[in-house]
Amino acid sequence: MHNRVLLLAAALLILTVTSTQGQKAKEEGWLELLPPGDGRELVLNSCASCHSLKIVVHARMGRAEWTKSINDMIQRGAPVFPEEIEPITIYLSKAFGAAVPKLVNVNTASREELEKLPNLKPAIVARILEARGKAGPFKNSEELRRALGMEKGDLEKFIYLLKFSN
Amino acid sequence: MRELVRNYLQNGLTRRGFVKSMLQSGFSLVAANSVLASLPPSFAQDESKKEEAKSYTRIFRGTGGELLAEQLHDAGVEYLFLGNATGVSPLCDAVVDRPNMKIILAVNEGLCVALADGYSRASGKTAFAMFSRVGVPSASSNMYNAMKDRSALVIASDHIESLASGRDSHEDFDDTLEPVKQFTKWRWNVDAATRIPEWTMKAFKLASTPPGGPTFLMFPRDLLVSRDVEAEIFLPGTFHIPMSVRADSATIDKMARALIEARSPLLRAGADVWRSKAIPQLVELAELLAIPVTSGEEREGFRISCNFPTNHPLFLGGYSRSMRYPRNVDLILNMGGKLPDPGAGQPQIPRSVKIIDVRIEASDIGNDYPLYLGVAADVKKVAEDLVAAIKSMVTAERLEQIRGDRMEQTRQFVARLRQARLQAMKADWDKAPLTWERLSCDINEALERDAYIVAEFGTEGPKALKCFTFAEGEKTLIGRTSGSALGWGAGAAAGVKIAQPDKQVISLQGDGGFLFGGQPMALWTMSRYHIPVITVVYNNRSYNETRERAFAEGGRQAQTGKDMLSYLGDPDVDFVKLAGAFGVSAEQVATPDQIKPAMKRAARAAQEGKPYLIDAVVGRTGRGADLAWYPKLSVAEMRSRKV
Repeated sequence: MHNRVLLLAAALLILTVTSTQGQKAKEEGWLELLPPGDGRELVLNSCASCHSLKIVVHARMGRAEWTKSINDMIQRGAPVFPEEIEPITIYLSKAFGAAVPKLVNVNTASREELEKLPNLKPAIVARILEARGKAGPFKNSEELRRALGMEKGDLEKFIYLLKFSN
Repeated sequence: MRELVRNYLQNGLTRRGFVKSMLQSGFSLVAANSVLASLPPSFAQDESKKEEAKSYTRIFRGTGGELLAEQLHDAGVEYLFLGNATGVSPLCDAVVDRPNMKIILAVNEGLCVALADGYSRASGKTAFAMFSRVGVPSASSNMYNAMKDRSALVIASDHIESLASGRDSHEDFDDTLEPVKQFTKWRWNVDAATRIPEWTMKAFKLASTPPGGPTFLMFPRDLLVSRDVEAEIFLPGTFHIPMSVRADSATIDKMARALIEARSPLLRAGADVWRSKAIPQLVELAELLAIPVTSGEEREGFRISCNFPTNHPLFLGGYSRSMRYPRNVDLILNMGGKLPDPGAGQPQIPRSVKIIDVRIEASDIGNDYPLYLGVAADVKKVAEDLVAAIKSMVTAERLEQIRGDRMEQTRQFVARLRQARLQAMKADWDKAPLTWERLSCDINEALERDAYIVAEFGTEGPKALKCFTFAEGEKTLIGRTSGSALGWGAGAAAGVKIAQPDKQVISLQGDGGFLFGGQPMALWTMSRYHIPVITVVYNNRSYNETRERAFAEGGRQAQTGKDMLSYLGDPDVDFVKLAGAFGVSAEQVATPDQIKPAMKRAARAAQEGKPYLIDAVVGRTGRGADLAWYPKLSVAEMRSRKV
């Protein structure tokens, strides 16, 4: 899907004008949707210096597509060093690869949608739905974590698949 | 030459002395005599006129059109960028006997303004354009561009006869100046023939005095055709207001101390630097303390102009709030550009950062950010004074300590980014359709080292412009406008070439932009006046930027894969034929190996005095790039009668 390949090529373009979105994205919790991994800090250094992470966490692309997209970003001025291209590509291809489920809005998703996500067992989904009924909508992962009474480590197993706004 | 003319007119330089000085300056005898013949009598040499000379004006009697021509002449106008209008005829009548004034005709009013704007930017002179009053709305988008960039333009239109106005009659409308109010620094409806020179002089003074901007005059036709009108013409140099304003010493000292004490300072170079020709001074200041420099614009880099050498080791490119380097900026010295747009969220400069904002446009200082110091002054003088103040405050050893390894760190940072860019660039280097980088890099290599680049790109622009070096002795960048209203570049490029006939000038356009505002019509003017501009259309058959933004928002267009607005491949415009219609040679380039040979042919055509166009097929990028879908509609099929 060539047009999907270049999803990230759109990122800088959209957000060069509204560059405050980088900060806004952090406020909205996009930063927390970057799963742990070797290239995470590099993505923060290079991608987030120009545009919102929202674009990154919503993307689902294969390795070739990510390579093309990253190359395009570098041409536009993304502050990436030569030795960082490979680890960034590997990280993004794994964290946001074509097979990774799309983000689900935790504030509006149905039980079925939530249960389809990896690492979200039915019991946790039930707790989320109950907490959402009492304390939702959640603005960010911290609000969700408190509502669930869950440790950060446990939340990290699935939080990267949830979003809090569209 | 201006100085010579002034000495001749006002300081008693003899005719012989004038010619001798012209010859010494490299002009031919014919040229010297021609200039002399075009000048008004030298009052300083004529005892009987001494009294008048003291008044700095001369008396002229003639038609209103001649009064306008005389005042334009004394304002230094060589080119009249005109549009078709019967109301312009009295000025054209006057030009018949004034061969030193040259008419450049454009076939729409927006192009008149674009031509004048390009000419003004490349010459540093105030340019004059005039057209029909009913063409003012058509001209307004480029007037908007000129106002955003503070271009020194005097724009004029004719107007209905004085005694007939205000009736909403033939080609008349009420509140005639209202439509241009937002796009002009000053505007006036001339209502007395005797005051044509006075208001013209005022329009020139206001347009050229920094911060500049277009001014607008309306001339009722009856005033321009009036005969035997006697009026004062304001002599050259009598309405030039130098704005080389210095900051007071206490302010300079405070700035110098802040820079010395800053742990991680950053310098932003805006368009005032280019306007004031202050690049060498800014370079000296940056080097003195090894301060990293960004452009005054965000990320894309330069829009109006290039304000710091892009090949300098301290130059980082565009600014952003979350820059990877330098980290923890604690002071920003903003020299001559708008501070970054705060947007709707967090300000682009964190509140913890000291901001020193230096601009000639006092009314715009500190409007969007709390300042440590606001300084209304000329950036050139401020840079000079800062260098002197810093040197007087600290020893050479202390300076070395402050500089530390910032210069080397910055150089290494930029070099590593460049290396990554070159690496990434090569991935699709030999592929077709062309990448923007391959096309631009090959164009760069084919051009003369000190060519003028007149660019009007959208968001693909940074990829293209990074392939050129903009610096003293290297290429000069003009555009894109900060107003971003498309329909400017082709006309502006022609104006740049008129101002700089001995430099290679290339106009770089996207196909969408080139089709805006009747830009192909600029080829008519280029062809008629043998303006040898090379035009390259980066043709991806798309409003790429529009589609990318719309699709990235994830709305219905993205969900359904329906590109409702941006696809331009049907009709597939044949730019080669289009250029041919204006008598301009052109060719299409579709593969990488075709770029340089095509550029050679373009350069050869330019050497022969002919404009040339290259239609370069480039790839689309971003979401929806593969789509050729657009909403079909056939009016032909809606007919019940085939007429």
